[in-house]
Formats: sequence, C-alpha cells, structure tokens
Amino acid sequence: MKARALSLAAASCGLVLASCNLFMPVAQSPLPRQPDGMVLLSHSSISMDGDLENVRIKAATLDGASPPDAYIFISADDRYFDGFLHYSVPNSSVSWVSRNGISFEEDTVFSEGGIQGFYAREGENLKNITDNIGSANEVNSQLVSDATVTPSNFPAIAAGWDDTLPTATGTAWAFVGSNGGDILTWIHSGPIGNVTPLASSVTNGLDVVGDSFQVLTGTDFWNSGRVDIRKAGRSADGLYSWFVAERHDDVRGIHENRLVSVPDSASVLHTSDHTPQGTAGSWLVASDEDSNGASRQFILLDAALTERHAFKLYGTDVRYLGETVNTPFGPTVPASVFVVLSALRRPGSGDPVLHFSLWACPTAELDQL
Amino acid sequence: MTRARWMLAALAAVALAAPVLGQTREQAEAEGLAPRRVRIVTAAVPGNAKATALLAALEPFLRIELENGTRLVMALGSDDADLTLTLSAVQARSGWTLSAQPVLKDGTAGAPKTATVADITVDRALAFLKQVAKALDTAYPPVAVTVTEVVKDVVVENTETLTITKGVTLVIEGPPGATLTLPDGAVAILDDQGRWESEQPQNTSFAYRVTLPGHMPQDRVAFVGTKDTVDRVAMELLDNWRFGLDLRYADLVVVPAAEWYAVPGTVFVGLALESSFLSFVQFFRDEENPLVHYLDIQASGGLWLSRADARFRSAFVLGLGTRLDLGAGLFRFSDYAPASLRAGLRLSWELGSGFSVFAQLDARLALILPPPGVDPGLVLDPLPMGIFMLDGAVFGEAPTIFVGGRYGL
Repeated sequence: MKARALSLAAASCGLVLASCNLFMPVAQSPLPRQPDGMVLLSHSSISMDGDLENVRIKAATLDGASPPDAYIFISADDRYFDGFLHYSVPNSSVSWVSRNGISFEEDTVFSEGGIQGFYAREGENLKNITDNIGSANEVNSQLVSDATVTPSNFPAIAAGWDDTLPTATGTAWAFVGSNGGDILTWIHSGPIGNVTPLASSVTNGLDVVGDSFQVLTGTDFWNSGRVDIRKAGRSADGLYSWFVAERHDDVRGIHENRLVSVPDSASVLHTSDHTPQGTAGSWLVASDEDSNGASRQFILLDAALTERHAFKLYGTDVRYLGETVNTPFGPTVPASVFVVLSALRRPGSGDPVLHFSLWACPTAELDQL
Repeated sequence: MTRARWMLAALAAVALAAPVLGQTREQAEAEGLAPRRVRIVTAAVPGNAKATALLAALEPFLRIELENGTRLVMALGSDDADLTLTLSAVQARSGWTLSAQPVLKDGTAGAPKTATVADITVDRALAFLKQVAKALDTAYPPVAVTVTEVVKDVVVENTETLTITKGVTLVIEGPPGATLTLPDGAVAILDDQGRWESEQPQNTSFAYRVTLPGHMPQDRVAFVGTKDTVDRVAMELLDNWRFGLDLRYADLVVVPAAEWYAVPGTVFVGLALESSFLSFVQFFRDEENPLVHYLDIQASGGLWLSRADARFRSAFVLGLGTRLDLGAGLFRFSDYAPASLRAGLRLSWELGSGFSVFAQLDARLALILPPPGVDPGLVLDPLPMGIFMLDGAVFGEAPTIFVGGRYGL
C-alpha cells in the first residue's frame, strides 16, 4: 500500500515536472525587434563552429539581386571561421564563398551601378573583383592611368553608387587619389577605364587630413609620414565624394581612421571621426566603429559631416548594405537595407548558429527612425 | 408571666426549634486525582477444566501489568472496585480467542478487547495482557476527587447526597482585545485590563486559541490544578516585511525579493527582480556569456490560505511583470513578455525564528511584441513550453516550479 502510494506520488511529481518549463526564457532572439519603420525582408541562418563571443560583420554589401541579397564578411576570433558569406534570399540560405586564394580588403566591398565586388590593389593598379571571386571573373584593370593627374605616392580608390535608383543624379563613379600632398577626386560614368574629368582638387589636402588625427599625431610613431586612403564613396545626390583616411602605428599595432568628405568643385574638405558604412540618398550613413554585441548606433551625416540624426538597430552586429528599390515599399521607392546578425547558441546542443536578417526602411524616412 | 419568664420561654422555644428547622452538613474534603480500582475475574471455560486453570493462571500476570504499567490500582473485593474486568477464553479454529470485558460499578460495559492466541500460556498471551492493560489505562484514567456532602434535614429527617466537583478560577491574561476561542467554540474577549476569568473543574486542562490582529495566533493549553491558575499570554508580532531569495529554473537564477504585508500574516504585496545576469549556471559555464540579458521586474500580491501559525502554509499569488532587455547600448522593453500576468500557488514551510522556505508553482501569460511581419515564435530562441493565444499576441507559458526562502522582519 505504501509502495503504491509512493509510486503514485513519484509519478505525479514526474508528470508535473515534465509539464513544467525548466529553463529560463533567455533573451536571445534570432530576430530582434527594430525601431518602428523598419520592415523585415528576409531571414536565414547558418551553423558554424567556434566561439561566438566576437563574431562580427566585418563588411557587407548588397549584391544587386531582386529581392535584395547580400555579401557578408564575417570576422571571428578563430581564424578558421573568418569567412565570406553569400546571403541568398530566393533559397533562404547563407553559404560560404571561397576566396580562391585571392587576397583582398573586405572593407572595400561595394555595390554600385549594378556591379558588385571589391577592390584589391596591385602596385598602381586597382583590381575590380566581382562576385564570383574566381580568377575568371577577376577584372584586372588599371582604373586610373590616363587621368589629368596620375596619382603617384598613394594609390587611388574607386567607389560609386547605384545610378539605377530613381533619385540618382550625376555621374556614378568617383575615384579618389592623391598627388603629392593634394587630394584629387574624379568622377566617371563607368567603373573601368580612364577617368575624367577632375571633380575637385584640394591642395595640400593630405596635410589637412593628417592634422585632423586625434591619436596618431606628430611624428612620434612608426609610419608617421603615411596616410592611406582605405575606402571611398559617392553621394547619391552627386554633390560630394568621401573616403576613409587611415594612419597606423606598426610598432604598437594601433590604427586611427578619419572620415573625409570632399565636395565637388570645392577646394575644402571636412573631416570627422565617424565610421562610414555607405551612402543613402544625400546622407552618409555612419556608425560606431565597433559593435558592442547588442546594438549599433547609426548616424546620418550631411556633406559637411554634420550629424543630422541618429538611430539604433539591435543585434549582435548590424551593417548598412546600401540602397535598392527592390523592397515591399514599391519599385520607385529607394529603401535603405541593413543586415542584422544574431549569433546564438542552439539551446540544448549549444551549437553556434548565425542568424541573418535583412531589414529595410524607405531612405526618405531614415531620419525618422 | 413576668417579663423575665417570657424571655426565658422564647429562648427555650428557639433552642428547641433549631434541630427541627435547621440542617446539618457533613463534608469530607480531599484534593488531587483518584485512581480507578479494578478487580479481575476469570471466567470458566465450559467443559474444559484445563483451559479454565490456564486462564486463571494468567490473572496474576495481568495484575502485574496493571499495577506496573497503568494508573489503575487493584481492588480486593467487588465492593471496593470501580471496575470489574472479566477475562474469558473461547476455543477457536486456530487456537483460543481471549477476551477482556470491563464493566463499571454502575453496570456500564466498556469496550472489550480480544485477541487470538495459539495457546493459553503466558508467553503466548503476554502481548494481549499488555494491550488490555494499556487500553484500560487509556479508557479509565484517574478522576478528579469529588466531595461528598451529606445534608441532613432535621425536619423531615431526609438525607440527600450531592456530588459537587470543586472548581478553581482560571485567569487568562494577555493583550487587551485579544480574542479567545474557548473549548466549546464560544468566543471571549480579553477586557481592558487584558483579563478573562472562568471557573474550571480541578485537575483539568483548558485548551483555547488566542488571536489578535497583527499578532501570531496561539493554540494554548492551560493546566488547571487545585488552586486558582493564571495563564499569561505573550503575543508575538507578525512580520510586516519579508525579504529573501528565490532560486528559479534549472539555470539557478537567484532572484532577490521583498514582500510587504498589508494585512500581517494574510495579504502581502511583493517585488522581485529576475535577471539572467544572476544565473549561477550561466555564470560558471565555460561558454561565452550572452551579450543580451533580461531583467524581469515582477510585482505581486499574495493571499495566504492557511492560518498564520500553521507549520505548513499555502498561498495564492497573482502578479504583473515587465521584462527589459539589457546589453551594451541596449535598454528597452523585450520582444517577449514586455508585460506579463503571473499566477502561482505557494507552499511554505515555516521554520520559526522568522525563517521560511517554500516551493511555488507559477504560470504566466506573456505579451509578445514581434517585429512587423515576424513569426511570434521567433522572438526567442527557444520559446518556453506553452501555447499561443489571441493570434500570437499572447503566450501562455507552461508552469515553472521554483523554491525560495524568506526572512521576516
């Protein structure tokens, strides 16, 4: 009798426990809520191995597909998991993309004029490498060679914007380079070939940029004489170009970036410490330099690099991808697209999973987020 | 007759009338408890002289058990005995059925005691004899001494015998206004002086319950002897505040909590802070810690369903909560459960000295704020067990069980 009662009690306890929630509802969300106005376009995920703590998006851009797809460069602590991913909406998948042995700088990734890729330098040449990354699709052209002034000491870099956008005006491509201490910008209708005419020339502009650095100042560091042009862009309203200037101390292993905007037909430039992510209409979309792992603040800058609006998006990391019209907002409405990464461990197994989601907002409403 | 003669005649008449009209009383007083006197009789077993003899042989052993193990005393004759115990035996299929039947002096029969033994021997029947002795001791305890008063009425020469149990005064002292629930269910209130008194029989016990709002109720027993008795009641204040920690989920989340008693001992409101920051398991595990944590701010109200002085108590708890996401640059209402309604059942073990531990079964309805166009099932990875309601706007969580401890002030 006693054994039967004990069995019944044990069974009852087991039943209650089995129907209970044993683990806390943790705060990890594959699709974190974003500010009102942001609309989810798509969502996908990929499993990976390794430590999730410092998984971040190093660079990302749209790949021009409709609906929008993206290329995403992932950085992680473990070098084995550094990767180049292709986010593909039609298949709702994320797949690894091989570098095919090609060395490139991810932060030069671009999507302009219907062409996507990134640049690699080779001496005085700029390589434009397209999406397949294989040698067959590698365009090895000397982009800047017969310009009015040929860049000498520092390589030029090219960037542009999507001239298929209905709001696009002017010429699509900008090339930024230097000659001596001068900063030069050219604009051109295509990505390859000779570039004319000269859009602006800021005499001793590199000195102005060099003087704007806040940490690596003076000559008390290794490499003090050098300012690199790392990444460039062109505003969609066709009024200014921008680029990132970098100084680095090779001994201490630190670097400092300055954002520089160069209005066309002007002899002045503007500098700031923002980290640019791309162009949205007349805005330059900048952000905090590093993601904090939970949110990222974005800042809308004008041509003078004045902060006009700030908003926050949520996720392990968030990147601005660029503008497109291929969104639910309509074929004539330019929309700004962001990719949100949520790096989570699968409950139970603990396997790491990267969740990617694309979010969009009409560009005209970015300053209302 | 002279005046002096009239006076002498009147005095003589009064003197002569006194034995006729007056009463005389004889009273014997004794104090304490009087034991019952018992006489043992063994019945003959019809047609079985041997069994009769064996049964008679058991009588001395029963006498020893009664004298050594009970409050009864042995009586020699039937006139002295308050109680006669008849020991009998009947042959049964597998041995003998022994029976002990007590009968009071007034003929009232008590509950018989029987047992089946293999044989009528001391070693077989000793356990039965012990049981009989114990049962008699319980059934016939010592009684209060009574006073026999003989009233002799000289006029009619009637003799009436009254039996009066002599009483003593029980005084209960305590906080004025305290309510006493008396043994018969009646209710009494301590007066402005904090006193209540009543006459009670000698050598009895008086069980009562004393209650006073804001104080711990007490069940008390006052022992009334042969003299007036005072039972002083000191009442302990109930807790106004209780503080403590809960331990929730298998993740061992430590949850600080505070409760304030609007009605001490009965109704409380509480506040608890639950956060994944305070998860033991998460803190000590090898994997990287999540970059986003949650903070549940939970307000609750509780109603204890059992008496404040009960060892084990149960309570119904109802609460509202809000949940925030916390992280670097992140402080906002969560997508999951930014507002929630909780209901729970608590079973508490009052350990004394202000300490208690409890287990609580808790369920909640959680509001979900999914981003536009997003399946509510994707707001958490994973969702708790439960069901969606109201087109996914609300999630009904399956219950959780957690434990906690409280210290009262």
